[in-house]
Amino acid sequence: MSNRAMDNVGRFLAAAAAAAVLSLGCSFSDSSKSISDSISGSSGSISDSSTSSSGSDDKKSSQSEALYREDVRNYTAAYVRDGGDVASFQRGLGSIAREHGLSDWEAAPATWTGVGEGLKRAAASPQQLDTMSRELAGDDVAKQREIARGYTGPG
Amino acid sequence: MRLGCAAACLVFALGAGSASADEPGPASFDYLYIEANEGGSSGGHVAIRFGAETFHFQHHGGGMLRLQRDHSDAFIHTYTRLRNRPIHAQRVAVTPETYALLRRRFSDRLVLEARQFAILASLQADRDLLTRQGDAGSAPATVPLRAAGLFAVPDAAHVANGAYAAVISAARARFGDDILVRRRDEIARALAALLIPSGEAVEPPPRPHAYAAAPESFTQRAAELLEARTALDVLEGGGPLRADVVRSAELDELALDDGEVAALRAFAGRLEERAADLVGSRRPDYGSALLLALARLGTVARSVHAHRLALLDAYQADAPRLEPAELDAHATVLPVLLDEARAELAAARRVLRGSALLREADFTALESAGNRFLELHAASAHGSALRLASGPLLPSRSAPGTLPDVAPGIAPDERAALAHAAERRADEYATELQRLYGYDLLTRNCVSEIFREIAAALAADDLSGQALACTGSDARLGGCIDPAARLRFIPFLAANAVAAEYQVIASDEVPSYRDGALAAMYARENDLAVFLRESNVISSTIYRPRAADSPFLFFTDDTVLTRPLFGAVNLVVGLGASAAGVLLLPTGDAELLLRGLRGTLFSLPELAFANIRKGSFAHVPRTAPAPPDLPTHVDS
Repeated sequence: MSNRAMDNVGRFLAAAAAAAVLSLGCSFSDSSKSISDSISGSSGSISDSSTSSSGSDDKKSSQSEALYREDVRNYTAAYVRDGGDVASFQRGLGSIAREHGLSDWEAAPATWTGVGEGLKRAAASPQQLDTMSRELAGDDVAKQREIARGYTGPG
Repeated sequence: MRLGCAAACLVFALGAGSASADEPGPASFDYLYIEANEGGSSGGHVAIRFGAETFHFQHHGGGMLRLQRDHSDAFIHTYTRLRNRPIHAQRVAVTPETYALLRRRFSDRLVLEARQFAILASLQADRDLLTRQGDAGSAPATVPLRAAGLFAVPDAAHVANGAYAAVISAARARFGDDILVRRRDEIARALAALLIPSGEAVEPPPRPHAYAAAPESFTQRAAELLEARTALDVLEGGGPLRADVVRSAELDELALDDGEVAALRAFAGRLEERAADLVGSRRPDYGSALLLALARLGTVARSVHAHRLALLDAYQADAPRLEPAELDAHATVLPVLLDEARAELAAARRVLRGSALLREADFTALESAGNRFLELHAASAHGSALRLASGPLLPSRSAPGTLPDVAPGIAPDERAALAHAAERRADEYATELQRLYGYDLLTRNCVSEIFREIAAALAADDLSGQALACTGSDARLGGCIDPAARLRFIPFLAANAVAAEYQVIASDEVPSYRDGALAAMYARENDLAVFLRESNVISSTIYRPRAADSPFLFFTDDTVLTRPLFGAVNLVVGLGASAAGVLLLPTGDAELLLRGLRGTLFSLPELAFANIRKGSFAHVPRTAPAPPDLPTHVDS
């Protein structure tokens, strides 16, 4: 029997034993944490990237912002597609922002660009764009501009 | 055919960028199979990696299988080093369009699934509140107010000190002189009009991969209104920060130079502007954001005044903690962690020396790094308990807010009916989520969901929740993997299926931490000496026994021929620990018995040449030498 075959047999037996005896399959989310969680990064939330100690801080920071914008975009696109009320949508935005270390999501331009990109991804009409711009950004021209930028941009 | 490391190492290039979900991306993704170990996942684990992001499904409490997204380098660090499990990676060739479709599918699911579980949490909060209210003689109902616990309740001697005069002035200039009065009126009216959902209210059932419509949660709305009222109280009264939420220390690491003070002063000016904007914000939860902005103004002012960093305590009240007695076992690790935290703080402080205006994300990073450093310093220097938390730490200490009577004038039996209805709504939503995301060892696990998401992402129509649609996967990936067929829900068989079905262009293995360290030792020392020394937990210089692992004597993951023999010894060790544990039972300590039984169980597969247990590590420095690269094979 080749090494690879033996290896496969061994793994099968291990998996079978684990399944039969312990009924444990996939990785279990461990809420108890280990001492390594006393520093960032070990547990790997994607938002940790902004606190990495590696050299390319600017790159990591912009990467973190891009991920936040993407989450907003995906969330907005689903909201536009499936519908719902604005206040509930805003609460969801708040939750996403907190995951990324933001409490004042209205002050982050990435929020508004992400909303615009989400509208674009959902193929929202110009009328929908106007309505949502007014509902979310009010008469704040800077926010409206970011939404329009996301809507018309390549993202 | 073999590739050199230059290509192989691309697979695990740390911090690799990831394309935007809708932009054409790199022409490959990585399928990761993580070998088993005791504890976390004795059956093995799998993940899918798109550049810097790794998605995987984890088994959560309550029997749910939830999608998680980790930074790829942190994922590899956690699994290969801390959990000591080798990762087998297969790089799958795809077009940029296919890459974007796949990544978008996983990214979408992440936010949509999280929203559905947030809705469940709000329904359960309503249920709990109404159930408590139904109890005879119950205390007035309270709800937790986010960030309200950062401030002390002013005593009778407190006089408004105008601490936030600039914020008030800016808010009045922006929204009118009566803005604070108007907002208080709005809050009072909304609180008086709060409605408990009637017994007839029905939630739209959650659907897979869809935005969940959420009816307004009574508890959530009440908390938002009370947070807003508290924020206005603090704003007008100059409410003081609680002494125990401000963290600083006479340490060189926290000393600020003139440039850094100037950066913080500029940030404070911006923060005042933003706080003024929040006073007039239309977002429903502006109160907690305003509270945090005001609290940060307080710590920034102290930092500027003292030329020393002062920060809000950013840990959640329920953060897991290691008590001083538990920390004794980590005495050698603490200094290493402290050094890493010091480096992270130094890195986070760099934004104070840059030319760009400090943003909230930057400040949160600074707060997080500072909190971790101070926490570790207190544990190292003073023997304090150590709180643990991953991810960005956003200060949010809550305080209870007392609700007005949630059902004035309603008879007790009607109150009970409302509570019963709230319970039914929460239960029905939980049942639906269980139906959508409930973990099942054979039919819905970390393997099956990855392949279902891949198939759904590439299908012409969204067939979420229906039979596997293979057309798109066949066309774009060269094959389709049905997790229900041929035992492919088992992680290592699924990995074989990936090699057989998809266009795998390269494969690679990242060794576990111990494997990597062993390889380095074998390269520079006598093989027999290394084997004899490192084969067991007593003389090993790499591994130290820890309570998280079951008791065992011999490692069996790096040896096949001696595995049954070593396993037999391990079995005896496990049985011995179990017997000792039985003797300890009268003292009320069942820990050793449980560990002994676990050790016995994980020794059994070893008798049949199978290995699960590999040992694990409390901490491995991220600066530790990278594991040696293993040969990379290109499958023809």
